Amino acid sequence: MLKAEHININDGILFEKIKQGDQKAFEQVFRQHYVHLVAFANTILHDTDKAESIVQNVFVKLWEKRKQYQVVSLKGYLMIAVKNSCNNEIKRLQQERNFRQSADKTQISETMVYSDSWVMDKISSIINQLPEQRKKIFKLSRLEGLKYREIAAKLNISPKTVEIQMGKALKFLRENLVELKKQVYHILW
Amino acid sequence: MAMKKFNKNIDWNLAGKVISGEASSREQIEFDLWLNKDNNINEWNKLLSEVEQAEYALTSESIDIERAWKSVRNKTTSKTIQTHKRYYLVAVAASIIILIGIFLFIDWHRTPQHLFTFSTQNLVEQVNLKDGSSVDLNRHSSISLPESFNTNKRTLELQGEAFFDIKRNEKIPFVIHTKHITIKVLGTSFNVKDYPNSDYSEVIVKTGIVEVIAHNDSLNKTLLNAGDKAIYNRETNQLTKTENKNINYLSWKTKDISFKKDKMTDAIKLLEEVYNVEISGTEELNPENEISATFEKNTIEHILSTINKSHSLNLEYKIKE
Repeated sequence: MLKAEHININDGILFEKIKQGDQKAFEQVFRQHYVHLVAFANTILHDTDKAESIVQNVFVKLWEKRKQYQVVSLKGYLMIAVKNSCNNEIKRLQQERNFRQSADKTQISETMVYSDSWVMDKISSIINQLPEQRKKIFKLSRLEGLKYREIAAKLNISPKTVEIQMGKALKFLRENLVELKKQVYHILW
Repeated sequence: MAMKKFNKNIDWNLAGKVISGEASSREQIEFDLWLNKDNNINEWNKLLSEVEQAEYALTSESIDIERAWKSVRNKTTSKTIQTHKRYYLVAVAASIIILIGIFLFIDWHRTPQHLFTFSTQNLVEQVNLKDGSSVDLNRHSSISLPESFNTNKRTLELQGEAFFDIKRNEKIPFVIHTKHITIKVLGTSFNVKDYPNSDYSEVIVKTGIVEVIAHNDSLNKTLLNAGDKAIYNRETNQLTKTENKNINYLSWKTKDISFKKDKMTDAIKLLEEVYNVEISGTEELNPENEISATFEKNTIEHILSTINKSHSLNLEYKIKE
C-alpha cells in the first residue's frame, strides 16, 4: 500500500488532471516526488526543515498556478523549481559554501534522485553500520548544517573529536560505498 | 587501484573540514595543492558524490510524508477554510461549555475569564504558553486555558494526552485538571494521558517533582519524582505509584522508538498509535515473536520495511483518517 513511487503514469496525463483541479492526481504526484525532492534540496541546503519547507512551497505554487503552466515533464519541472528555490535561499542567506569542483550539481543529483530504491536501502543499511556517535556527528554536520564547535557543545565532546570522527566517517563512506557500487554494477550486468 | 592511492595520500580530517566549510585559509591552500596533483580531483568528486548519497539516504529515512502532505493539502484546498471555521465554532462552543462548567463547579465564586481551547484532530501539535511553558498535544486531545494566568495559580484543563514542559515559577504553581485527576507542579516536564474511552489515567514524570491528586478525594494523592509513574484506576479510585518501565511513552511526540525484546504484537500496537495507522499482514505472526530494534525519527514506511526484512514478514500500513 501507499508505495506511490512504484506507480508509473504518464506525466502529461497527470498534469492535465491536476490542471482540471484533480486533488487525487496532485496527491499522487506529491507522494511520488516529495521524499526525493527534499533529499535533493537537502544536499544543497544542509537543513532538513528548510528543505522540506521549500519543497512544500514548490508544490503549493504548482497547485496555485496550475492553470498557467505548460509542463511537459513534471519531474524536470519540480527538480528545476526546487533547485532554483534552493539557490535563492542560499543567496538570501549568503552562506554559499562552494566546495564542489565540478559545478554541475543537478546532473549528478538527478541520476541519484531517481536511482533504484533498492540501492537506497543498501546505502541506508551501510550508513547504519557507522558507530552511533559517528553517525550522529555526520548527521548534525551534513543534515543540520551545524558547525564543528556547535556539534562539540551539543554532544559534550571536544571539536577535535568531532573533526576526527568526521574524517573517519568520510573514510568509511569512501571505502564501503565503493564496494556497493561494484555490487550494483555486477547486478546490472 | 585508484582507491588505494586515494587512501594513502588523503588527509581525512582535512577532507572533512573542507567539506564542512571548517578549513582555515592555510588548510584550504594545502588542500588545493593536493587536489591539483595527479588524478586527485576525480577521487575527490567521487567522495563528494558518496557523501551526497549518504546525505540523501539519511534524509529520506527521516521524512514524515503524511505530515508534509497534510500541510500542503491544507494550503491548497478551499475546503479547509470551512473546516477551520467549523473548528473555530466547535472551539468556541467548547470554551463556552467549559466556561459554564468552570463557572458552576470550580471557580464559581471568582470572576470567570474567557477560555481558549486548542484541540488537535489527526496531528500532534505544540502549543507555547505565555509563561514560557510548552505543551505537546497528542492526536484527538485538547487543552483549555484562560487568556492570561492568574497571579497565584496557572491552571488549565486537559482532555486526551499531552506532554508538559513547565517553566519553573515557585511562586505560581501550575495546575492541570483532567476529568479524573489534578496535577500540581512548580516547574517540571511530564506526560499526562487521560482519554475518555479508557479505564485509567496516567502520569509519567521526565524531570522534577509532580503531585497527582484524585479528583473526588483530595486526600488520595501521591508525589512523583523523575522516572515515576502514577496510574489512576477510575473504577476502583485507586491511585498507584510505580517506577516507569515504558521507554516509549513519549514516542508519539518524538518518533523515537526502542524495542528491547518486546513482543512483536505489542510493538505493532505501539507503531499503530505513534503513526496513526492500521497495520495489516499480522495473521502469520507467531505470538512468541520478539523484536529488538531502535528507530530514530524514521517514517512508518522505513520501519515496516526494516521489520519485514529482518523478520520475513509482509506488514503493510494504512493511514487512519
